[in-house]
Amino acid sequence: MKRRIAIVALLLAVLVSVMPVFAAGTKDSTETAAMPTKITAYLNRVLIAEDARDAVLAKHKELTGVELEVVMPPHGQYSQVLTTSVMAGDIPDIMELTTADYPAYAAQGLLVPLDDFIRSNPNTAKLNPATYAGYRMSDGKVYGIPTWRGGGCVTYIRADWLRNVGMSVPITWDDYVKVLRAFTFNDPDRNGQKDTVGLAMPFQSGWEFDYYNRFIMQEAYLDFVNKNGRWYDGFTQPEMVAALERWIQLYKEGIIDPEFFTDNTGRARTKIMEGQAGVLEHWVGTWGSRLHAGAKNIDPNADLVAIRSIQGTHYVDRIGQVLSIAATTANPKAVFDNIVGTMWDQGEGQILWTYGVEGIHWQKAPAGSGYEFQMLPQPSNPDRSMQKSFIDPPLALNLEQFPVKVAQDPRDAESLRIHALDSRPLSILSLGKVGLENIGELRDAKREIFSKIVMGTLSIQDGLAQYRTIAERLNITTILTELNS
Amino acid sequence: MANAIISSRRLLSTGSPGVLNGKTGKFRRLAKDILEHRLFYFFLLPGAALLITFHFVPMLELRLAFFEYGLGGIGDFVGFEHFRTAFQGLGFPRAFRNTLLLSSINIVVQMTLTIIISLLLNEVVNARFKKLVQTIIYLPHFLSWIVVASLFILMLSRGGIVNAIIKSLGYDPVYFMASQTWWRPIYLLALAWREVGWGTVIFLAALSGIDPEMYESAKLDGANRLQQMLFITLPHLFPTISIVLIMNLAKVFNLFESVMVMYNPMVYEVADVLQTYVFRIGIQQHRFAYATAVGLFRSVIAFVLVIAANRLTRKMREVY
Amino acid sequence: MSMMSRQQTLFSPRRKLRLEPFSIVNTAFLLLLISIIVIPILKVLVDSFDGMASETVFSLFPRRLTLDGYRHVITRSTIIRPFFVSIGMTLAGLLVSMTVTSLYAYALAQPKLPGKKIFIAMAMITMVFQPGLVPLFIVVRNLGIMNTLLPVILIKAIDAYYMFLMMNFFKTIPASITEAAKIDGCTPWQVFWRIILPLSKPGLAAISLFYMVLFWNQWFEYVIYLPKATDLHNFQVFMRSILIESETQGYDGFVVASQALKNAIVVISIIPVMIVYPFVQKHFVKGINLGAIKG
Repeated sequence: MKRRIAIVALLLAVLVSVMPVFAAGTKDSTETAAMPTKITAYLNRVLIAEDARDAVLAKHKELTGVELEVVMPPHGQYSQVLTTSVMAGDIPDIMELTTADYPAYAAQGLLVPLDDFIRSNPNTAKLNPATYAGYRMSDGKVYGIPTWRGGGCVTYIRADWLRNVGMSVPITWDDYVKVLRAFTFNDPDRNGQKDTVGLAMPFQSGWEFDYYNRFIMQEAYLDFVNKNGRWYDGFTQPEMVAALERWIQLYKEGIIDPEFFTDNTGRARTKIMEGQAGVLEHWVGTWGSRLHAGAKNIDPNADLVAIRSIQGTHYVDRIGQVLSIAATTANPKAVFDNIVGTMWDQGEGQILWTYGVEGIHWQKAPAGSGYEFQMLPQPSNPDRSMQKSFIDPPLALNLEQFPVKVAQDPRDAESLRIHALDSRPLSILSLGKVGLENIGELRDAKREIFSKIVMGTLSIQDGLAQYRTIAERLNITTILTELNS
Repeated sequence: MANAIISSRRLLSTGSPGVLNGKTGKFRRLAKDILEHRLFYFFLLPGAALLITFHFVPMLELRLAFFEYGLGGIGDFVGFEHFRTAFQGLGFPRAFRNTLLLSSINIVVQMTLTIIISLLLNEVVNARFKKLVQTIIYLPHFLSWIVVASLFILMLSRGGIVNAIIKSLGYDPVYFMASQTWWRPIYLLALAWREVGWGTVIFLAALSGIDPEMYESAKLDGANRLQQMLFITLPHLFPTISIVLIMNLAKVFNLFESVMVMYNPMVYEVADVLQTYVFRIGIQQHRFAYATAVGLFRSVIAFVLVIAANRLTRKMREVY
Repeated sequence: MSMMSRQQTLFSPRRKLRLEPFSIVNTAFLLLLISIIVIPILKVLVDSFDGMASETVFSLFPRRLTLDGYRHVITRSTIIRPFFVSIGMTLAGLLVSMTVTSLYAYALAQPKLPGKKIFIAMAMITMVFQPGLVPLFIVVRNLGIMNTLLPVILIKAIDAYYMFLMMNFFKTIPASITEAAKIDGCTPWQVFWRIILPLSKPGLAAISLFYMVLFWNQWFEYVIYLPKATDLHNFQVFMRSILIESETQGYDGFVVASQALKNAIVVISIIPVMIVYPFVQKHFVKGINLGAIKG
């Protein structure tokens, strides 16, 4: 009898201990619809712990009375970690979403619309609507507010090479081609060897491809493009044919890096910094000075500058990451006001989110220096000074009202200035059901066929014909209809 | 044949004392066996608990391959819909083919090289030289795939050492990484470079368990080195070889990171494997049910392979 | 001649080196092998000291010697904690995994264990069928061990591949030995502890090495199961974060994502394993074990 009881008790114990494994997840978040005392956040590019992130959060609590709990997965795994947590039922109150994730999350109803909050909060109501207009989904609502404005790529060129080959900054396409030729064949680095090429570039996937290569693409786009309110497949537009011809020309002449197909952004950067290429389209801002410093490290005469877009071309505004609020949050308005409202308050809050904590990340600049603040060395790496705590100072959404308070490297400032002059905004792609299913294979096909056309193994006609067949199989008409609805 | 089995069973059951009929006897024997081996069930307990908790319980979610499942949570039951989409998909047949090809060639190449090198290493007399070689050949395994890929890409780029040699011989440089002809051999070479040295560890450990007396008596019988290797070393190695082979088959379709870092759109035709395909088309597009379905399909195929290999090696062992 | 002294003769340096053609070919082949393997590794080492190392142009000689790559990593005070976390976790992981795995493997090595097939199948299935990340995450979360070091150890504590290898090693021990021990009055536990384990040293050493490397190299488990407890992250996570930081931010006085830094990171990550390997390798030496015990 005792034995039977023991066995039954054991079985029950096992069963009970296994049960929690099947239980549904609880939401890891704030309290009642009253003011939250704690807000959970997933952020991608906030400070690392060693850079006194705790001080920033403490100051935030001091300013707003609410504790902010931040999770920051490593950059390369950010999307994966966040999505896993969300799929497991643990969605944070507020989170940064990458450009790829934002439409998907919004479409699934995971986020709250922000329009009302933006309007009712005095700080965000002052923001220029153009800064978040690109994030409006097909239902007319905005589900995310960007954490910076624009930015994108500009063309950087070795000005010292230009001087060496006796040419000036290109203004037209023909000038540009001549420069590339000179960089390839006229020994621009004066080392007696033919080891340079004109243009280096990364071969990016999907929509990112269109951020780079604007000079060659001109009006064409590899991915989907919005022309006058309607969406089209860029690859089959007439402009693409002309663009492809330009690609083929450059490749055949050998004035473009023949191995760019296997380069990512890192490798492309390396090529221009190591003096193997003379032109690169790359991100504005701090890359202006960094690329230059990198090039100077190898060649002390290096002079890397950003240039205006040539005739008939333009740069594009990047659709960056956004801050979104979970639909299941108890008090989304409070969360919005607490974080986003503070971020753009043109006062202490914005200073905290842009520059950090006084005495740790920045200090007041000496009188007469011409700047308000001076950035201090990074606590984790004193070789370098702090750049920002979260928002890039020159990329603030309300830059006109809240200008940069610190000294900026002139090259950084110049790249931003040029980009602002010559860039056009892009619209966010909000795919429907069929679109989401087939976009992966569609983009694969584009990249494969593009490479073959440029390398010369497929003629433009044949390549586009092949693509059309594939696109039809992938229901391109449905995809476009969904986009345009 | 059947009669022999039946009669032998009866023989067993009537063997134990005080038995009324066959069935009760079997239960009694079973209980006795379990009691005798009770220590071993305790041995199995922690491992089994861990396997159940962290493998089998999560595996229940494989059922989601038959549902709609994405960011919006679990949706309707859709049966084999995802499998149908996969088979009709553009990239799937190609990914499947590449997975089979790359995996099978890789197993053959790697195991052959590993066994040969282990055997040769085993024959080295100078302990210092042996240690040196051992230490060096396992090093590549500790480099992450990103590092290995960048090394190979560097060596094979236009400015790389291979093309430098080619150019000095008067030929044009070759764009290896984008070439559908060259990619596979290069990939397999990179795999072998990284893993073969490490693979010898387990064979060398097995070899060290062979009684040296057997070699002595074989030498006395007049066997030379090669014969010793074929008739003593290899047979002793056979159980290890077959286990390693079966398990490599089980993991064979897991090629992922190694391909990710070395492939590019130009070589998708020969390089895209199921895992990379699923990553690009499934996971990155938040199509989790689809990804699960392809993964499930992949596992089922691997499972069939393992069972088949198991039966095969057992038959071979009987012949031995 | 006794067993031990015969082996001593075999490996004694005073033994005449008969230059068999086989030995010559063998040595030549192995030398070729290690040079193929070594060249890229040498490049990693050389590049870690080369301030102008190139990612795209191959050269084997450093152009500007520098210790900056190493200095940048080692001089951070934030390196100490993750390093010790890694050491602690590797040892803890080794202890747990070797215990769990060898017990399981030995049980499966028993010739007549009722239900053995079930347990074999269980392990086999886990090698073939992979659960997704999200279900596993849910299990960990529901067990309440998120942000602890437990999932890092427990999830990998029993690896079916290593378990089967160990089972194989146990099986190669002749039954005659275990029979003899049983006759001498040993309990099954004593047989395992006093007889089997010592005889399995080569196999155990090999699997220990495998597990050590596995635990030392882990990083993703920390990132996903300890998103908040970043002070418990290990050395590999730390190294990766330096790498990412240098690629996205660069730093004054040193080129962005310099090759020297990248390669220094690689070298530093390998060193601990290289230190441990010789100690483990001792147990792979041919013949010593079996012969000694027989005597």
